[in-house]
Amino acid sequence: MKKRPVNLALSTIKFPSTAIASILHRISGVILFFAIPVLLCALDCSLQSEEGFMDVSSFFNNTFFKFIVWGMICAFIYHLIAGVRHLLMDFWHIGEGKCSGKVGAYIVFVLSVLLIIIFSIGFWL
Amino acid sequence: MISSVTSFGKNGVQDWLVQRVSAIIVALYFFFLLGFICINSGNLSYDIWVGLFSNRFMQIATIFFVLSLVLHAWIGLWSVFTDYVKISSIRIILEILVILASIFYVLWSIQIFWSL
Repeated sequence: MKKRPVNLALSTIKFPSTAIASILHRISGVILFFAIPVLLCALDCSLQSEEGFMDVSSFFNNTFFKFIVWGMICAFIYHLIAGVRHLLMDFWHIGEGKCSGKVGAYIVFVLSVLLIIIFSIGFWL
Repeated sequence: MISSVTSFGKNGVQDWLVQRVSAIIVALYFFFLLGFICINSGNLSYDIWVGLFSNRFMQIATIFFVLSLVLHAWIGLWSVFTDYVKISSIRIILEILVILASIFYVLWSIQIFWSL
């Protein structure tokens, strides 16, 4: 069998928008898995006592903690929108073609960036 | 077929469906809680917060949400590990850790309401 050339140097491959949308969906998903214990911990503390509730509230005055929460919500926004794209493809066959798939990926990027900007303005100001 | 032992469903189609149904449940719960926080923004007090989570329906919805969340994460991370972690022993260990964490989170969410 003829040996075909193989290029696995990831830095030299130009990824299509669909591939980038996909890998970001996975990365944001992995980030969100680590958010679960943080959120459960916050829920647990905030419900146990009024002091606990105040403690969780005051965490938002801490820039580092606030940044972590901000990152988690940004990951969630992207993951949610990319997930809706999956549902559109799976249940209604929208954006499954080669061209419409790329358009769909760009719509996901634009929508996510817009929502993240709107959310960030409300969150930090 | 050792890798299929750590998947959630009996087959890929089941995982596929659970992944989508759980995603919708997580999204609905998120929008409800977001709406609640926005309506009470600025004056979200401890009493309002405990009042919301003292509701039996909200407690069941929250446990349902956590259950959907961990099933979604389990299936999603299983796919990620299957694709990128090529060493079987490490992959199996990671998948078992995800499953144990998932069970722990569900029990934790039940325990939060147990004492409320």
